[in-house]
Amino acid sequence: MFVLYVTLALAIVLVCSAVVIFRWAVRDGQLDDLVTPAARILGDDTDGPRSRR
Amino acid sequence: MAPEAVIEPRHRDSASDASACDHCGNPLPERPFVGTRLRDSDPRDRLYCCAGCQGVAETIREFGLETYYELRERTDRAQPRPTRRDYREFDDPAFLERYVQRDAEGVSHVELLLEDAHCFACVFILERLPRLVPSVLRATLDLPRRCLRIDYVAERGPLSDVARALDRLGYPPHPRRRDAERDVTRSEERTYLFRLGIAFVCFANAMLFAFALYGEAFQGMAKSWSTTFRLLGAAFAILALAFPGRVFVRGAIASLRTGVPHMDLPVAIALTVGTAWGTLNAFTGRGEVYFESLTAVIFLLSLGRYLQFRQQRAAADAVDLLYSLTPRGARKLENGVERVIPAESIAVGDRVVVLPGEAVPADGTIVAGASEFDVALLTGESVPRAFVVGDPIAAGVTNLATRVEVEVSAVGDDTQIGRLFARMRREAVSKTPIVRAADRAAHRLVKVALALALLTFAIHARESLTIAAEHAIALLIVTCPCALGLATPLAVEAALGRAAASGILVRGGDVLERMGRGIFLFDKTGTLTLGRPRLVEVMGDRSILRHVASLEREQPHPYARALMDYVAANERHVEFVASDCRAIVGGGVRGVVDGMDWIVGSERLISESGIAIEGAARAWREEVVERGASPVFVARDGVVVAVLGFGDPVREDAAATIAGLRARGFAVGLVSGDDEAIVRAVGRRLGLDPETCVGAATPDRKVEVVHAAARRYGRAFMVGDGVNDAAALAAADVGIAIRGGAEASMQAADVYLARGRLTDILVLATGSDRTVKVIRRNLIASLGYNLIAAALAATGRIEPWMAAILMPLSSLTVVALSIRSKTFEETECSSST
Repeated sequence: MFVLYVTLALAIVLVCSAVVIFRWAVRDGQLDDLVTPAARILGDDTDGPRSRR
Repeated sequence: MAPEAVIEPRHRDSASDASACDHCGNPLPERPFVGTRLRDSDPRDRLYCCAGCQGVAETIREFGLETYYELRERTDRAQPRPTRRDYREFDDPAFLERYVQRDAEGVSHVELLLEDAHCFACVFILERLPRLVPSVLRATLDLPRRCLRIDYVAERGPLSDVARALDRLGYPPHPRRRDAERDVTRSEERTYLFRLGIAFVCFANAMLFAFALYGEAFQGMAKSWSTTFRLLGAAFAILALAFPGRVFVRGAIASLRTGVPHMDLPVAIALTVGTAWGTLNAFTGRGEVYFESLTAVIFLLSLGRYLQFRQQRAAADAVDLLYSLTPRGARKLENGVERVIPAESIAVGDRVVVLPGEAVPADGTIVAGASEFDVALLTGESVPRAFVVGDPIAAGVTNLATRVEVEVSAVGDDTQIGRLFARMRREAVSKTPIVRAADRAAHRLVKVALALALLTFAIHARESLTIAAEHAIALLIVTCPCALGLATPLAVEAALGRAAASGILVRGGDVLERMGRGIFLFDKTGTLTLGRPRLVEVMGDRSILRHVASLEREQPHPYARALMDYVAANERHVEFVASDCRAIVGGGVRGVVDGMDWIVGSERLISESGIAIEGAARAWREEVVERGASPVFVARDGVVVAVLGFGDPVREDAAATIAGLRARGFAVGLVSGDDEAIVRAVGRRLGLDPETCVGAATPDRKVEVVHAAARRYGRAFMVGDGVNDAAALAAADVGIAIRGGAEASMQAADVYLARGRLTDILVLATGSDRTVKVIRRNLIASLGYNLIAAALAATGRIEPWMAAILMPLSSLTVVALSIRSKTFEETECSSST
């Protein structure tokens, strides 16, 4: 049963990293507008291969 | 004028339908504008309804953006038309300083509001702006806020290039004011969202450990494991209380300090007591822990707060967009040369030019020219006033006739409008906040819960102090008004969303709860009436209308516009060409049409021109005046041949609105800055008690009237449109502004009717009424669950898993009740228009 302690610790590490990533995404403004990005991909194909910004 | 009336939603294959414009979908004229095919495979040339659409479409083709037409799935509204302005003010240093931010790498950033950006195709075309304008590095559209953020290099081209390109595509840009307040709101929204995320993480993890512990309750578990799970649960509960839950504790302290009932108080008691006791129990290994319920409370309440914040933000954004659309340029005269500058950079002593149709940008004195001005927004007077050289003039009045020059004597807060704004802010601050239904309920709940907890403790104290404390604390936790916290925001969120969809923008949920019994006070000019005159009487020879129309065609005076509207609706085309046409200040217009000398104007102008008003003309005048209209005389070759009557008729839906309000039990009154007699007459026509009709009211007097009415009738709701109504709107329990009014009234009002229909007030009244009912139903449902939980806890029968089922169940009930409710539905009220 000792392995349960390992998985518990692992789970907590995962949770903490998820929180850190979430915090970054919120601060970066990625969640400010949830409508436009969905619209943006519709036009992406027409430009041909495009370098990522 | 955009032909808005002919637009109807439809799905349309743009290549096959030859009766509609290929760009905007409006019907084609007899001779459409022909454009190049998009692709060689197209069966026919493209047809457009106007040069504007043709221009936009050619630009789209030229830059290889044809995909726009494929992405645009529906042409369900008029496509934007270019204005072809030169946007020179976008290059003014004062403008750049105000709206543009430049970073260390030399890239400039500006935010432009585009009222016509509304669909996926708009995103496509606008974000390809760098193809059209070389100076633009990147354009990013925020569709819900209609805001385009542009990164550009100023050295490669001026900002006006960008503005002109957007205009060419059919999106006339408006600069978005950069204010600190909005930055604060944005970071606040992010904080709310982050808090919500943390609350969810804590809730989900606490729940996981709680589930393991439920296993212990049913089939037992090794002591070391149960302690571990309890301690981990405690860790997440403490984290939840320390970060997202802190808000409720802070709110509770504020509520205690100010003595205003607030829902945060019972929440905070349950959270702190529950977490502290649970943590103690986790360490000692005895007693129950309720971490899953506590973290669920924090999560659900954070969700409620987030929703509430978002509603307010959405309403604020909508109003922000609307008043960014008002033009804010001024024509400054420098060494005899006119230069367009932003209105904010005018200084005292400047000389500005005000053209017909424009608003005066600052207080000052007329130094050249003379004209008539529409002062309705400032004073509520419906008849235009004449100003000549030497007359003081206030910012915000609109020039109607001829070009004038104004020497500026006061700007910003020192202007008459500025003082009205200050008064409005004072009124807004002094407005007593209402105690919302949920808070009132929570206030009673906290007393009952504390009393019950004491009682429970007393009853069980005989058995053992620990068990008594255990039961009392369990009771405090399970009576925590979690569903109560969700009840109002959810009902309001659903209601406000529906209201906004039908053009009623409401600033916050408390507005709906304020709409109880009371009196509705209407402003007259521009609110009950259209605010612009219409031709209501033609006495004498009707055939002269076409001659008069050709004289008045180019005149900006509202009477001239009213005449043109009338002719367009009732007569055939204007066939004459007027020559030697001159506008005369304070009087009218004269010129030669069809070889005859015409004078159209006021009684004074006619007499001064040596023409006698006698016989039939005199009788006509009497008749026009009798019907409450202002007479305008038409003289042909020195003889009066007709008298035209202009009046400001009440809106068609005014009577229905007032009747509807009365049927709903509201009193109705009138308060206006216009002449007492006119106000009484309008009141009489609408069947109002003359006692409730107040005329010749200054802005300050309007505030007094509102306060007095509120004292007498319980609540006062003000409906207005002008700057002169702003303070009264702020002072009223609910201020309602109507489309077409001034910026100040929009800022002051709690509700904004974007469609400009008075009957929307009925929709609002009904909607508020229903929303309040939904809120009440939600409160009863959530209190019902609390009651069951309290009964279980008081008798010592509650287990953590029961609390964990009851609490979400009550929240789910509230959610279901809110979503199912039909608060703002149009069907019932719009039939009366």
